[in-house]
Amino acid sequence: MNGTLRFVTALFALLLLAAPNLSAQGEPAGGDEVTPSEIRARYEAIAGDFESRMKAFQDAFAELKTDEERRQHYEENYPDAGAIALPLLALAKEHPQVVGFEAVEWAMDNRVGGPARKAALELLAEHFLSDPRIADMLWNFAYDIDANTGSLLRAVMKTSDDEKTLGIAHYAFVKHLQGQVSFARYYTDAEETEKTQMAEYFGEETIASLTDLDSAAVERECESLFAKIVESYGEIPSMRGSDTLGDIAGRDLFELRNLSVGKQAPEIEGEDLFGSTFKLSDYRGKVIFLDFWGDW
Amino acid sequence: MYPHERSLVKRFADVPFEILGVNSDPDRESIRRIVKEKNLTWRSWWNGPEGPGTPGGIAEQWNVSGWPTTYVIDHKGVIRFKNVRGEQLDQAIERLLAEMGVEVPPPVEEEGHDAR
Repeated sequence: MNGTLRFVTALFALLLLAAPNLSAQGEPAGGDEVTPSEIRARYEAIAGDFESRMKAFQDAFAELKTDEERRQHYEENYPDAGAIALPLLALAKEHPQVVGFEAVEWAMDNRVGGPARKAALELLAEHFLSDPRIADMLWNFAYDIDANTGSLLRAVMKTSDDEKTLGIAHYAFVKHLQGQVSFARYYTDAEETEKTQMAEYFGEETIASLTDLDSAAVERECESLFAKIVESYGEIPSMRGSDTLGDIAGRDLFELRNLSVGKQAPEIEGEDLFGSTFKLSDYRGKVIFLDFWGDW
Repeated sequence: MYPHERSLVKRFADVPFEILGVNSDPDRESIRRIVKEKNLTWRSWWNGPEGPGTPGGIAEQWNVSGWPTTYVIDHKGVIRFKNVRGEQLDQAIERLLAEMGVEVPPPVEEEGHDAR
């Protein structure tokens, strides 16, 4: 490329940047229409503002000497991702095809809760159920007991035709169900003051749906879902090292079938710390406290 | 947890009760030293990691993803409680001993407050 041509190309690029009425495809947009590049620029401005606030927070944090100073700095200055996510998601709602997916991803990566999370889920449900890019995002929902999460995952399971998305959606959904069952048990046994706190945190509606849960029926559903994952989505990679979805769902299935309260404990056999072999069944006739432990 | 476990050993020394551990520390030598130093008199299977990012085979079969994970198993070998801690753990053991018709020994004080 000779000097003059390079100059002309650079000039043209500059003109493109400076001309708000030209869209990225170079077609003029009429009236009040905003171009995709303008929308992206707005998105970058909001997200970038958060990044710079986060960097300022971290830089200041690194300078602090005592735990007390750090705690205070954290409480006073930690950037609120939820507050940033709301305008980001509002922009995404207007222009889902331009910045929708990025905004949802941003909200998930920054673990926002409350109304921002709700807005992100709505956006996902409305525009991205069959988008294969959502697959890895679905891991975020595995430990979320909220009923909205369950509906979203069910919708993905119904709508998507991408194998990886389907596999992870099934796994996240069954872990979500198990979370609901253990929460319901925990809630039932909790003290009144703790119950009030949990109701405030999760909302009366979620609490009501969880306390009405038929745990035995849900556990049967979990068992058949785990079996389905092993059978139909077993080869899909998981988030855990080299394990596949089949590996992790297989272990969950084993736990459900053999390690639940009321089941006969599976045999354990192996060497002790000093090299002699022993078995769990050697101790039959005694009450056993079995502790999986590490000195870390 | 160690002080509580030592108190269980002491309290239930004369009844049919046993603590059994499954230890997933990577270094067997150092864990041998630790059980002696900290007077951890109960037996543990050694279950060191079998590869990066994985626990040992026993912990893997039992689908353990957080430590400590605990079970209380009755005299017939049936799993009766999972992850009960503190006073609830004592109560669980008391209940299973009572089911066997064993006279339940009174609580003892915990000694020492070393790590874990």
